[in-house]
Amino acid sequence: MDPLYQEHILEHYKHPLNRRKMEGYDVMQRGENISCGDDLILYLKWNSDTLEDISFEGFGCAISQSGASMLTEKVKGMSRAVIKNLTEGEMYELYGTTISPQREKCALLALRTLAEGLVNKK
Amino acid sequence: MIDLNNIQKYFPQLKNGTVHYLDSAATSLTPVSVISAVDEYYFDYRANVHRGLFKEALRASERYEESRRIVASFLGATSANEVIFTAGATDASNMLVRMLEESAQLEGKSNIVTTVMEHHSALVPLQQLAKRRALELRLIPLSGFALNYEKAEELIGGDTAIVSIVLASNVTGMINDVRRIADLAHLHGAVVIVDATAAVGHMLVNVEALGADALYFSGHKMFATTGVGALWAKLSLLEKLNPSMFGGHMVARVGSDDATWATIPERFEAGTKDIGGVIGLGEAVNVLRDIDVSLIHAHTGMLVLLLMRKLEQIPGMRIFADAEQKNNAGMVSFTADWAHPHDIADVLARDSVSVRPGHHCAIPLHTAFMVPATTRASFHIYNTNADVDALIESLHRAKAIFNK
Repeated sequence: MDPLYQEHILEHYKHPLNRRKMEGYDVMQRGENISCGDDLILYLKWNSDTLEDISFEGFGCAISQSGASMLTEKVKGMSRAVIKNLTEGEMYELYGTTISPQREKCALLALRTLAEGLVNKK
Repeated sequence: MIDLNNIQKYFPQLKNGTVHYLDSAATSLTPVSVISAVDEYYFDYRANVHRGLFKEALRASERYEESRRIVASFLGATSANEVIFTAGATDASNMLVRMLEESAQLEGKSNIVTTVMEHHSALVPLQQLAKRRALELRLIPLSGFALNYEKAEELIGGDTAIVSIVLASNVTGMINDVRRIADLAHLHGAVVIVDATAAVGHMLVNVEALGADALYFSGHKMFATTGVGALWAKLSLLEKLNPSMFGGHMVARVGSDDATWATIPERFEAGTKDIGGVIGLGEAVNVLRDIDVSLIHAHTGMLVLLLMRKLEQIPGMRIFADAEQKNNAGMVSFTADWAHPHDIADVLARDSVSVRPGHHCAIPLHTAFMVPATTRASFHIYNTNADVDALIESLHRAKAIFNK
């Protein structure tokens, strides 16, 4: 098996979870890595302080897109405070493999976009 | 005499024979004689150039000025004084734009013409100039992978101050008909700037044949070290330009509130340049001449053709390059509908196939192609059929990983 492109990463890339446009969202947040051409839109729907629903659209490399799939699945139903405290380490844990410095931006795109979405009110 | 059959032995980084270096368009490898030339300066005669009277200073100055003559002759310049050493193409491009702005070159003109094919180092300084001076920036569009010359004729006119054109694209390798554009520009009295960065060392570059008024390139893409490059400009143009960088070495007299300028080219070389790098640049040109640039062009042209024919056999590939040698300075960019360029480059890297994913500092060109990024394989004299085979084999491995 490939050391980076492990089965669960490829599965999330080829058959992403929560990849859909959302109607009636509270927050739409775009994030991009211009140098690689990774582009993401996150949709957040809150029920007071609980993330009731989250989805994404976008295109990019297998690392950034599988990360969006894994992260959205992880944070659905979490409270704002818990999401706010998510660390880069926890994001890497979702990949379960070593991410080289060159791919850090790809791996952290969804997390960074989500963090921006937390402070974005629209 | 260079042993062309064992050219790899001149490039220390290829010594273990397991690396497939296909990223020469980003930076070339360095021949051992260039490294030695730079080393020798630092080991034996490090001193600042000009003015010093001790023997190391004289030797450093001689070698520095010898590099100027070597570069001038390589470009077909009429005088060594037309060559200004810079930190590279970006430095040259920014400097030149400021020099033109600080002079009378823009007066009575209302637009600047360049192309969608430009590297950001050529394009962005022009964009900023246009903004500062409220000039219109016009981009010559594409026709296939080439420039649309009919459109260029419409865009260049009597109100055009500058026409800046890349000789070879650093994405598709496309070689532009600079002469055609230059003749058109001169008809209207515009200054012609040529970005030769992706072309130098890969094809013959002769400033007279191109019809350029100014031309620049980086040393590090043509066997020299990083941090050095050259700006060539016609003496008749340089004489009309004010310097844009000020400091030591470029002045004649300095009073408490003003200064006068040194002669050309010193006028445009403020401060201490990368002396070792300049000496290495001279040696890099010597190596290119020994190998023969036409032979490099022919060799990389065959590798381009071979790679394109093999890529065409793989489903889902889109190729951004022209197979004709006269249209290609030695590179092929591609995308696959089954994987992102970054993922392709990552798998290839693990097979020691060194390619580059991204927009290659040419976002407007990628926008024109309607892709966010490509993977680029670029060749030089040290590449072989085995490098192409390794790339193709690795691509098949990537395809097996990502194919749905």
